[in-house]
Amino acid sequence: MVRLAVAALGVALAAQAPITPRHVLGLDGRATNPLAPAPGIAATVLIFTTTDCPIANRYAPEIRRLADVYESRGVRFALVFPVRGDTSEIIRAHLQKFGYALTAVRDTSQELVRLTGAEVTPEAVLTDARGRLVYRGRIDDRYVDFGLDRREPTSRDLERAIQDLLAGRPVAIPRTQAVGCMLADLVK
Amino acid sequence: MTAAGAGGTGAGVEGRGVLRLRASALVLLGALSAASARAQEVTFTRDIAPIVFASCVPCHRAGGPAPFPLTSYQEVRRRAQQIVRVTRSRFMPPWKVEPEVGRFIGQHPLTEDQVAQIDRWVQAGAPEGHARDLPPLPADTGGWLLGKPDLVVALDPAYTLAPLPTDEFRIFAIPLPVTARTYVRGIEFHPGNPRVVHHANIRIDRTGEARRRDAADPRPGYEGLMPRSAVYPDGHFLGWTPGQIAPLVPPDLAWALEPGSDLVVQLHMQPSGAVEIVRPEIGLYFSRVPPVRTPTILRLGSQGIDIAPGDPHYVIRDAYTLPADAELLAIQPHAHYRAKQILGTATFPDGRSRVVMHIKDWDFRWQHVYRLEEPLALPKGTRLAMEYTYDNSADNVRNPVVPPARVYWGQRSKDEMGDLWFQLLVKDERTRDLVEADIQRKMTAEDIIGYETMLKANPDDHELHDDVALLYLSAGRPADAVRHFRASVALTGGTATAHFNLGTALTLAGDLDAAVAAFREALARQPAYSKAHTNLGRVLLAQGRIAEAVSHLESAIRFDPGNAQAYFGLSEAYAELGDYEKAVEMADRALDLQPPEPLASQIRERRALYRQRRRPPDGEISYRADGAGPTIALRAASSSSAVIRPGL
Repeated sequence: MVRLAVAALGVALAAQAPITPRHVLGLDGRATNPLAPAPGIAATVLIFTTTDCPIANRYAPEIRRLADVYESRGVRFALVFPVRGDTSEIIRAHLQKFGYALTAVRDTSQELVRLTGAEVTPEAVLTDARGRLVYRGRIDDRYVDFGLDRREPTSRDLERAIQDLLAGRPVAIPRTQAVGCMLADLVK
Repeated sequence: MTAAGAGGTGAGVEGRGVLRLRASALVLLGALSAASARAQEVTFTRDIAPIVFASCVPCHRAGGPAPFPLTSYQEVRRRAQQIVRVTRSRFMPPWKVEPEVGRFIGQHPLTEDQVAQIDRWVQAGAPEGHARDLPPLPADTGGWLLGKPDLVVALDPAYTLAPLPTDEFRIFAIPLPVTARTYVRGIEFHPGNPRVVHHANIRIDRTGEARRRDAADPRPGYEGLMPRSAVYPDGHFLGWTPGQIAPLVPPDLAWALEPGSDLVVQLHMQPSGAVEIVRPEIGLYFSRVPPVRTPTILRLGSQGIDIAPGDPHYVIRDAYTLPADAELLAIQPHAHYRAKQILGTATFPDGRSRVVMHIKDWDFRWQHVYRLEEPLALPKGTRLAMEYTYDNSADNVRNPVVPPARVYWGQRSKDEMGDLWFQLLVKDERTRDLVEADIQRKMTAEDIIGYETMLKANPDDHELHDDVALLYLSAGRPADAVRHFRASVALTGGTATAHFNLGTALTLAGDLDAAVAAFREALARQPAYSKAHTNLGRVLLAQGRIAEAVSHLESAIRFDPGNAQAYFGLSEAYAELGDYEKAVEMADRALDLQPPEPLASQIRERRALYRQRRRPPDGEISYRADGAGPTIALRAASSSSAVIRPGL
């Protein structure tokens, strides 16, 4: 009984620990931590993505919109590429093609995937100023399944989580199911 | 566990001979178990690659329409669990027709065994296997699969697709530079941007209407509806979906392409998230000889669709019994977003029934012409039927209108449609025309329902009133045409054209006084309206007001010297006045303008009659009983009494 309680506490504590990756690379090949606390940064949004996932790519305009709205309010955005085959050169061409002016990092050992529990692309992770995970899941509910998507999303979950965090409220819905290209085969 | 490992451990401390025997026995056993494990073990190179190369690689290859390739172990391994998931759910490969319906050209569905094999492979850790087991990749047939085309046209300038979050449909008119009637065996469509162009609906327009609508929009193409004048040519479905190239038909089935025609291509595009350039190319393949046989297109469906908001289960049905023997060549279902189940059946005269089309989860994005691998014999008396089911509830994720609204039949994406098109080959060419006419009657009646349905939703659309009025005229219902032309006049504030149309319909309905009034209204607004003068002249003629008729017919010619109808009208007017000489002269002038049939034959017939009634130049006239024309017997002043038959 006591052991269970302690184990539960351990899980809770783990959820509260800041995410600190050590093996994530910038496009320049140097180690970087996209979640590192920094002055003026109230929150960080990571978007797990690849260059060849059609669902992730179709979200480019929406991701850019969110960055446009929230960067000035202290929200830092970074695209995370967990597929090793997405080299710096390929990523740079991709950023240009899709009009991204965002930071991109390479998670070639899928360390961030494991630390956050990301399952598909695109998947969003929102952390607070200290790098603690407060939301993981879909950007919005446009996609219900492969081949089954709405004309318009009815629930912009990532945006609502950002708004909750910036307002100092607990994130009302901290976890949603994202739909997209599975990462399971990358993470052994 | 390898044989060597098993043999090397746990050996007893016995004599060397025994040890060696035991070791070799163990080696043998080990070898046997390894071999059987290899036999059971599913590997990529031996077991999975053949499946993937046959069923997936046609689209999932570099430069193909799919977003990523599946042409190597690494590419497949990286997505192994996703592949299990999408093949189990039958999301991929995207063949939506239920397997028991049968096989269609160009489809590569997976069997249950193949789906299970892929699952087993992934569960075993997705081993690669020996390189020597790997089959060759299918040849990358870029270029023209059907051979070198006789004519290639392209969308110029290309279209720029913006990074929208959802699908775009756009119509483009592409001119076809043929200078004489040309017989076409088929086309090959290259999307230009295979990632983005999801499918294409292709028609032929001889009227220039699509070209006008395209030109009216500053960017290439236009957003809107296919004009009614854009049709499938002569019983052939044109269209394109990825990986599907319709084979060329044999030369004796080619369709006729007239000069001045445009290719009207409706592209369904799925934006990628980035700006994309779209420039499709179309290759055309000709036949030197005219066709001997022509397929017939039958459309079943309902244009009276009217779905209440929230109705989760709305059903439409239609049927047609074949009046002659035929073969079924291809089927094309069509609906918009809310359709769920698509069902088509053939019930034979002996009572047997067969499902010819069945889709359980209709997806508007996967539109396809399903060409049968083998034509299906449909004997006379076969009843072809369709039944579609729609879900207009909020639970239907694909419902384009949320919260759900009332839905009518119509061509816009917020409307619904439900058609099942059959491409038939009527066995006997002579009965083909009868079948075609029978089908046309049925389709015109349904088209009228469609317009009346659209008018329920858009009662103030005068173009709809005009269109349905024309259909009523062709269906021999002039009184209904009058009703709609009156509405059109009221809505347009009474343009000259609107009054002219109304007058023409009133004439056909037999209300001549009202027709005269309508034509006068048209002329009041547009005094140089030659056609209005013509039709008014003819009505006045029918009313016995000859002098007035002649005046208007002469005005018609003054404003349009090429108006053969006006000359014909004058011919008839002069005949009424007894001046057959002038009647023949006017008929000649009409014929000189080379009017189309059936007008030309009508004029010739009348002209022959007027010639008979003309005063003869000299001599007696005798009329032959067979009506072949007057003969003139010359007086005995000349030595011979030859009978001269004047030529016509």
